[in-house]
Amino acid sequence: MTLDPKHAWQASGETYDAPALAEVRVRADKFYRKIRRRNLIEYAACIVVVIAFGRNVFVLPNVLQKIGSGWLIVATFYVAWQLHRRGSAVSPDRSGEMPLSTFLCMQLARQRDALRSIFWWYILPFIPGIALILIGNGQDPQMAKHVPIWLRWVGLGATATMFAGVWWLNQLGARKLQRRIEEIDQLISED
Amino acid sequence: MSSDSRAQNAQYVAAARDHGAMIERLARGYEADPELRRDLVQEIHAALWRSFAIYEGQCAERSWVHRIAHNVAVAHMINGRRGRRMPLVGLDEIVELPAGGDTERETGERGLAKRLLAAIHMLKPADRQVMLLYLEDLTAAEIGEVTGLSAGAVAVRIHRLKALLAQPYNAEEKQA
Repeated sequence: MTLDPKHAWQASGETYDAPALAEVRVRADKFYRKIRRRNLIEYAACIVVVIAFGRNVFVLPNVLQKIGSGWLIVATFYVAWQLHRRGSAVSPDRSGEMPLSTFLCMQLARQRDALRSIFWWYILPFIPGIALILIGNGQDPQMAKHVPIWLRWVGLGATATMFAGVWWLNQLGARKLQRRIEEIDQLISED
Repeated sequence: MSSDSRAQNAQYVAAARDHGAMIERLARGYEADPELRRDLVQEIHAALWRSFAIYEGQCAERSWVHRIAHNVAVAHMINGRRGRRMPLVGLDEIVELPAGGDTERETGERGLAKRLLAAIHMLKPADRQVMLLYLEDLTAAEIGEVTGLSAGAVAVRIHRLKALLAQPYNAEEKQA
């Protein structure tokens, strides 16, 4: 007797019980709760920066320090907006609009591009503000009296090292994502 | 509750009723571990429910459900595969249906289904998709719509699949 594979497959498995709608909705909400939590953390970080550097705008004596602090506030909002924009990839519920390969590669390529271009949208916006504050610090007689020049160079070096570290780690992440994209391409594309 | 959410709920409930068993079978094709599989099924249902908020007949409902289910399952498979690197193969590399674990002696439809599942677990995503969709009785055109593979690529895979399924799969048949 010859068996029909399609029939055998469709007749296989346990009896199916549809999950309760309430259960499905709770599960679906988890996805949005995660996004809301991430957004809240970003907004909280923005508020901390606004309070800290907003205070500097009024307290610091030198005009360059004031402009630099104001610049950092604007840069923080810009970076938060970029994080929000670049972070909101296609959610799984939109995946019905596109085939498998497009959906997955789109998700990963989006993350990879964000990491690759981290200098332009995450590091560069802060540099003018920091530079202005540092120049302003150099012109501030109080600062010159209390903070030795070598310590200011150490501060500048630490800031530059931190930015370089952020850039390097993100490039590593981008390379890892690129390898995953190539892996999927290889898994998916033949013929 | 707004009329939009009521419509979304109604569409989801109808789709879960019509395609629920297919989703269970599909999840078995992507995840062998029962605990992780339950999680995957829930993930697919959650994505499906959310998806009906934006579904406006962009494609046939059946294709829509298959796309959501496969996309969620393949994402699950790729994330899971980072930990366990079992090499996956193409349809052309499988010469006959493998034995389905301890059930080598099992015959009839149950035995065949287990062998099909064992073969599915060995396959790369594109071939796995085509095999699952073929077994769910989708046409070549529908398979192309769901997967995004070209008509030629779908035809080649279906040809290989038919050849594989035409192989005698148990000892009695081989002897006959």
